[in-house]
Amino acid sequence: ARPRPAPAPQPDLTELSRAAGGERWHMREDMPAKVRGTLAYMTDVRAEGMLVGRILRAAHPHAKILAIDTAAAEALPGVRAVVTHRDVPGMNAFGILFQDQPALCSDRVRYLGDAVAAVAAIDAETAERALALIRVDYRPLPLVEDMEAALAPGAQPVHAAGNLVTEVGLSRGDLAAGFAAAVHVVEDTYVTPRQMHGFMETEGGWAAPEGEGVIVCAGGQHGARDRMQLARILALPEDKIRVVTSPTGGAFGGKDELTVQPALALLALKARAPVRLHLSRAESVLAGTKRNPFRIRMRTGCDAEGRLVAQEVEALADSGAYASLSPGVLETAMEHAAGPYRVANIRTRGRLAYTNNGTGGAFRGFGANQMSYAIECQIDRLAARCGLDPVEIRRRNLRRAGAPGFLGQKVAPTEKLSEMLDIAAASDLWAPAAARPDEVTGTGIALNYQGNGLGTIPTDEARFEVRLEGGKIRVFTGLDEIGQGMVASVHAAVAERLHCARADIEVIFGDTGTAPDSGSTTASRGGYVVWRGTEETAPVLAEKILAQASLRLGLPADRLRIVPGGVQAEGGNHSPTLAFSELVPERAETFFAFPKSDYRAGNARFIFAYGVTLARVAISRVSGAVRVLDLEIHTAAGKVIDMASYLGQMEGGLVQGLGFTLTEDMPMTGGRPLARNFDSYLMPTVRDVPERMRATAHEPLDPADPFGPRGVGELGIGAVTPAIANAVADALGAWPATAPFPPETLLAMLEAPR
Amino acid sequence: MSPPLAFTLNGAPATIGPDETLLDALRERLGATEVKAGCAIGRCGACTVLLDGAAVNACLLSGWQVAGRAITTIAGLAALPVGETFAAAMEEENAFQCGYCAPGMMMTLAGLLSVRPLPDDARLSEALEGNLCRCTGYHSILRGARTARDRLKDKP
Repeated sequence: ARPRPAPAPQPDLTELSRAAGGERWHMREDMPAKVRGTLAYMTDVRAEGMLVGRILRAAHPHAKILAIDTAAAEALPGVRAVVTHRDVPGMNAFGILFQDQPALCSDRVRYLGDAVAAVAAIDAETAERALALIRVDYRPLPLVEDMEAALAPGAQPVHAAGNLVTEVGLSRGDLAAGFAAAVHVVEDTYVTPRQMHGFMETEGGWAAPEGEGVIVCAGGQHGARDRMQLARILALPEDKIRVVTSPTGGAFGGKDELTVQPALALLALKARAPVRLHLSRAESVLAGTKRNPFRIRMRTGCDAEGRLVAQEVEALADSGAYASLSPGVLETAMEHAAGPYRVANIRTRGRLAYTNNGTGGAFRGFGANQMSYAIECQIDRLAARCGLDPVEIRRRNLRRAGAPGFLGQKVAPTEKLSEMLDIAAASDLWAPAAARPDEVTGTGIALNYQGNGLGTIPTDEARFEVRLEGGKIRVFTGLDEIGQGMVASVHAAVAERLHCARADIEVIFGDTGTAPDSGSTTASRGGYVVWRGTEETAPVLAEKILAQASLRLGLPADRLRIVPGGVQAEGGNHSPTLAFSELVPERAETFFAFPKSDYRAGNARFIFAYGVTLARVAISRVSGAVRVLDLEIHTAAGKVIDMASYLGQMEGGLVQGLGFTLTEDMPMTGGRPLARNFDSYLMPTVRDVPERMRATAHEPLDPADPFGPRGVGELGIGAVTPAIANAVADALGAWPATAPFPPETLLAMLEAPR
Repeated sequence: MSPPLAFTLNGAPATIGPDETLLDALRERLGATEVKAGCAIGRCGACTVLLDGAAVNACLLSGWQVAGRAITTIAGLAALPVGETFAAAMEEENAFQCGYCAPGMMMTLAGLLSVRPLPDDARLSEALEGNLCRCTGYHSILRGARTARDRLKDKP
């Protein structure tokens, strides 16, 4: 075994669990309806006269469309509408960054999930029969199956402008001199999977004509942006479109881009009737956005004391057929090219390629976890070369608190990496694990830091409103409940600030018809938006409530206070003197920009959350299979808003990362994924998760840090892959550089002489 | 078309075609959308219901297998003797996140907690092998199930 870290003094630590949480542990307000099965998701909506929609997907992964004939489908009894590109009144294109994806394909298909036509009929059977009657003539085009080949000269272009979607990079210092000065150099190519989001509720929902416009209800992550994209496609003013995006059965970034909304809206408008549409799992596997596969070549050098002196990074990512948010994913990956470490001489280049391999985009971690896999393994390898323990080498290279960010940008003051290492050094997981006789065991760690918000370049703003009305404190936000606990967090934050009960609060969310635009529920920004929105509205509302109560009771406002249920006069007993229901409505609202850096040459983050993940593994000498025995994550993201929600994000992120590391991938052959459903795509089951998981929070922020709690939706997944890889290396002396780790690679490592 | 077959759905009479899948009948025709559709091939357990008290995947059952039998969905949980104790424990432990796997998870566990002797920890994990959850990492669900089991043990 390699050297173990020396124990360090421990910073304040909050253990995240029901047992340790005491009064800080609350039942999430959305829990009873979920436990008892009474929550209606948007794919559960049924109504008299509601039609059933189906989408015709491309028959080839890359082809020209010569003709589309829908006459037979339209003639089928029970069919109420058939739509093709000819029915798109506006711009037949969407995409959060650039609009390169057709709502319904007209002259070209670029992957097997491309939507060519859609049908609404009286029932599912009729709709499916109608799809089979639509005749599409294609002329197949050469396939672009590999991202490297896609960028080679003479490659078949997937889009007219060529296959290079974006390229980003930077060069600082003198790379050659850095490597010349290096005593130890390690290099490898890290390969990461096309991971499927695997939300349990596939893409779907319903739409209906409403007045001169349309209501579209489908799981999403930013209703106002979905509405803007739909307005362009439908050539309707935004105020004629209502988009409902919550609740939804999981998203993880996979419902950030439009999914079924264009087809749903076009069908409802053409049929002049409500239409529902719920993708089968097989269709979701084929058509849905996936995590961008990366190939990252990384060469890293350090001096004899383990100090980094040179870092060279060449990354290539597969965008699939369309861009969606993949350019942002690449940019975020490259922003993490040095991890949380200082290195004076660095050169990076990242390229993103169009292919016919499905379509890629946002997925929890957003490129940071892919890059962290590489850098956190590199630093572990250098530790081994230098004879240092894995905590010590990281200490020697950590970013200095107060230093500019990786791109040279100004960043928020709090920097908790050193505390994360202190906590990791004291972990019980450094002790040998009990394992079976045919297994070898090891322990590994990895650091991560995850930026919050969309970065310097995109618009990133939020509205938030609180009202006293109908005896309730009603909170209005366009954020979505995707399972992460946004609703519980609003209850927690507002109750704490107002001093009312969590039960006094009602949250109106995820609906452009009733809630203001709070920006996207992505990029770990929701937690911050909830906190900031509350900070800027609750005190104003409290003042208005107390002023009104003061007049009503004839007492000065400073002798009144808000308590659960209403307002209490000083010296009163526990019940409110004046109930909320006895007061007339009051309101307070705010509009703010997410905190941003000054850096505009590229997209850079300003506030960050920090974490360290430890893994203890047992590897079978017989099969090469890895059992993850323990996962531990220690985090620093400011004050925990709602403990159960925060814990859930950590545990769920760790296990989603475990799947990425050990079993999940969607290899493509001939533009077709080998995975068809959950029988050929292996997400972790209850049997695959660690026996023990532990999550903690180091809650203090720097005294000079005004930015409040950070979002933590992506922290859990951020460092689990390198933590497991480093644990494998602790056991076997070699680092698996391809995820998911092929068991045969581990068997070869087991057999190699040490 | 073959005549419909009778079964009971949460105690009420219902019918199903002999070759209709139970999942389609429930979600498409009988309005029982509390039963969720996750994969339709028996791999995710989102559609788990009780068939005469035993947990089964509704997507893998045809009408003829359901004829004359009693189907209990999550909407029938409260009527089970263990229902309230079990549901309360899952709520307190915040077992779920997005909740889409919950109706299936709950029925798998409800079936298990309704027979004696009560399951040990290993049996709880084994029972959930066929139920996928993408949000939680399963520990919160197991914590809730153990809490429920322990409370049911204390009951006469």
